[in-house]
Amino acid sequence: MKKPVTLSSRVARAGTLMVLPSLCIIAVFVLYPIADSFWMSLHNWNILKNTKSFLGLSNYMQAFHDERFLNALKNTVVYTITYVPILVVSSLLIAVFLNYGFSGAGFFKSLFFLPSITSMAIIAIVFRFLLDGDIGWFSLFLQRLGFRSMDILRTPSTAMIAVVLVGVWRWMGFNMVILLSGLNSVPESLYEAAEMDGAGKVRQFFSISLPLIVPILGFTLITNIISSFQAFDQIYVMTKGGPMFSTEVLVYYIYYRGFNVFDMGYASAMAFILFCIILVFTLLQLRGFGKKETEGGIA
Amino acid sequence: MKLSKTANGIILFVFSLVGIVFFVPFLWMACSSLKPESMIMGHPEQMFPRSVTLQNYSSLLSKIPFGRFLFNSFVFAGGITIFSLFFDSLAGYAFAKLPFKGRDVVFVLVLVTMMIPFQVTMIPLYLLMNNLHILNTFPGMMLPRLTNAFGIYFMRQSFLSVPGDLIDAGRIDGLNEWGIYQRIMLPVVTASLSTLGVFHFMYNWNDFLWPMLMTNTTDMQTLPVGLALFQGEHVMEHGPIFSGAVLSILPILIIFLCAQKTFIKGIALSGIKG
Amino acid sequence: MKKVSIMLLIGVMVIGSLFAQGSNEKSKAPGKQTVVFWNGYTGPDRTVLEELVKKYNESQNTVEIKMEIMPWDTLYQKLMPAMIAGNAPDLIAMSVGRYMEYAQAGKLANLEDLLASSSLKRDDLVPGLMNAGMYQGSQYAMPMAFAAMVMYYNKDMFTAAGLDPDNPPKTLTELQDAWAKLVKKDANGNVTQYAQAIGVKSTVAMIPVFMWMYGAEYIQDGKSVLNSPEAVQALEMLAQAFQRNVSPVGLTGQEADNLFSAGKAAIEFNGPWAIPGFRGAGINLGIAEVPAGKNGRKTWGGDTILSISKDSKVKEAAWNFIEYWNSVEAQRTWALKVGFPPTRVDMSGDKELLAGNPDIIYFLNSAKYAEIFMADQPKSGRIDEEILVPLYEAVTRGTTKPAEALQAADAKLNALLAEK
Repeated sequence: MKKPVTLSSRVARAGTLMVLPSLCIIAVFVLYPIADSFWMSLHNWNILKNTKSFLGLSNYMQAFHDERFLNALKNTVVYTITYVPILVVSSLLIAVFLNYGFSGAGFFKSLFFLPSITSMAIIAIVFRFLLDGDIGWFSLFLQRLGFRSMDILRTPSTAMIAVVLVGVWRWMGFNMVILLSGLNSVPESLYEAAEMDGAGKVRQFFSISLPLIVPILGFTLITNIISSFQAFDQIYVMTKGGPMFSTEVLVYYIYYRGFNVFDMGYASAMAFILFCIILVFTLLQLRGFGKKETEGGIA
Repeated sequence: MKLSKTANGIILFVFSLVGIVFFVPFLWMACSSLKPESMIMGHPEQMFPRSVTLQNYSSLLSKIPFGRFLFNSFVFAGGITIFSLFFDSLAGYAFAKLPFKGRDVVFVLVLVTMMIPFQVTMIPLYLLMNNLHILNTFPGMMLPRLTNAFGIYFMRQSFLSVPGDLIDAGRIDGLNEWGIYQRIMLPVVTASLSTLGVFHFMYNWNDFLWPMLMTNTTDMQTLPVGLALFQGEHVMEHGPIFSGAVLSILPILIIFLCAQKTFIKGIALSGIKG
Repeated sequence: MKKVSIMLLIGVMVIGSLFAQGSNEKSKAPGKQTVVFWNGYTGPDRTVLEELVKKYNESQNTVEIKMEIMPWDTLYQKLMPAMIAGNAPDLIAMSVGRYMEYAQAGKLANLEDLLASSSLKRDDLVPGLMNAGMYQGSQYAMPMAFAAMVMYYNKDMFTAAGLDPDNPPKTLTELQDAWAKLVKKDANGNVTQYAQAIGVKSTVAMIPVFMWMYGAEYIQDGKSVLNSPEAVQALEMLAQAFQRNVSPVGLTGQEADNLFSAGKAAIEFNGPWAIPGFRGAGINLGIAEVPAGKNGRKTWGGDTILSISKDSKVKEAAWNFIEYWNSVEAQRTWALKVGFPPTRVDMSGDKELLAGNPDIIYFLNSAKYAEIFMADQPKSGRIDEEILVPLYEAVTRGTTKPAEALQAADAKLNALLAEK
């Protein structure tokens, strides 16, 4: 006897088929290399000499006694807790005001988006020239005004904040566009109704805009935390982890051990430690934001 | 939303101040692309060129196969964008609206792929591509990127905010799941698709590490890899690098501006539904 | 809609090019062996290299060199995966300090036999590079480009400071006197002119030159000799100099070059590649050999070597190119157009060369006392990054006293050398 095809089973089959192509690509080209890396992390593997010896978890243990790893971990955390709030708040503010559609808003939208479509390598060269404490345009501008100039990228106490700010400069436009897309889908009618009830712009923001963009805000927060834990590009091109390891973040150290020391086993182990940290944070956030999401579809 | 003239003015003023921080680096870069190398090195503190020269642009075009790099970048970034938009939206829709067994676990698995730095997985991936004999080819470069966790997550987010009534209406009309996706869902999320499309394009347009690893010959290399030819170990040719940067930004900027228009159209569509 | 047609166009291009492939690595000309050659000569040197390779390819029918040029960083990033995958290039140019890791890993071919039966003789070539190219008693690397570090100075700044522009400092004492006169500050305390741009990281070996002036050494017989009274003296001198604003702290080599080019530092130690850029930037350039210290004078020598990969199937063909490259003709062209002194020792009287490039005399003279820094150390990259740079930074920033810093560095160095 043929089983009756219910709506939910038809839907489930459609759902499975629809994720299948993506899943296949991800499984072969992303998950498999990840598994391979995990396997490497259990060995003392010099990838160039191809010498391998099984170590179990001792690479992982070693990391926690490695001063440089701990320093990188600290720097990564400092980077994230500085970078993410500044980035999300500034992107949100800019998006909110752009949403009001003041004259010239379109120009500013493109201007702020410009850094994210420029290659990081170029940005590093340009900033190096602008911010150089001795020959940079900005420094000499300050000197002419009578101030002391300094090279913020070459000074250990300021290098981290410099790197954070460059990151914010680069990605603010990107996040602004995402948040704008969220703000844009809030129907105009809601604001009009609130306006008629006498609510001011600030009240409107907190009672209407904010609650409705919580999902997209959550998305922004989660994706930015994931990527800021893995910050690498601007550090690689601007400071190479210096001066004096003050900007060395985890992925930079992982890269150094993997590509300069050829110690892929240890590098992979550190990457998996980082992964666990990110996973925990992400799951916590997903749960927190998940409660607030409305799910449409089948009851 | 209407703003009073004062509010308009204040916001414009504040934005202009912020805008300066964003504008100055690009101004310096564009100006420097028009300066002779001697001026860039001899007087880096100056903003505007004392004498404008187009030599950097002509060097750029004559010293490297710029046209070829441009073409390769278009194919690489453009191809990935098109396929990715398709796969990401398909998967994103399913994750958002079509419950199936284990869906949430699989979704987390997809997210997991964003949490391992590429620097670690790129060697195993490279070796895999080598075993498949597709190094230094477009399929080799593009396959791992045809779908992407960020894109799937983003589209899922987008579909989540679409009301379920639309789907029910579609079912009543007799559409199957695929039809609903194609005829009802996609049009509603065009704004998100535009946005995601711009993101995929720009990410892959500027990507250096992966194309660099995968390509060996100039006929396959992309623009960022090609521009790196001006970066010597001891001596950098800044002029051509800057002019290359200016020319690199232009295509994406144009695409972004075009996507904006679709963006606004998409908004208008969803705004009506209220 | 315009957007749809754009997408369609891109779609067609994509489908079309999915069938396109990168060009085949194998040779086109029948009977010619292809040698794949990786090197990092991007930048202005590239045209000269391409010219020489083209000349070689056209001059004979047996070997075709196929060059793949990429920035040095990129080359090292790609080399490792390529070697593991079995795609290593036949001929590889590398910095002299980096090839040893690959030799140790068994990835490079032993060149002794090829050298023995070659028209090119060991004694024809610069001894420093040839010695550096030996690993465990056999030749694994042949010279490609030889560079020595000299002292550049800004003649106008010298004149303005009351120094004779045609009589640059020859000893450390004279150099220190010059420093005192060359540092200038403005009313707000900003330094408007530095005496010398001294790089501490990602640079040619500027600080070792000072160490060598005091007779301090780094490694001997596989053990660290960093913690010596001479080294302490040298670093104390430097710490004081930095405190007096002789140079900005924390400079990379590139930043030091930029400082000198922009006319904000009066002196810089650098290699031959810098000359066109400096003159182009409008500097009235003076060149001299590096000053001598009380206990010696040594300068940094180095640059690049050529190795053949172990698995290459065209080793003799690659060697043929190496012979060509190190010939008088090729070296003369290279020296004239790029400014590097030749890799051969029999060209110091070469009239064409001296006439065509009068600057070269300084490098030819320096070659006699140039040392390839840490030539026999496979771990030289790590030593620099993990031990020396932190040492230099700590001392020049004044965060640690030289004696203390050297003691710590000494211990770390021994630990690193002992690692397998």
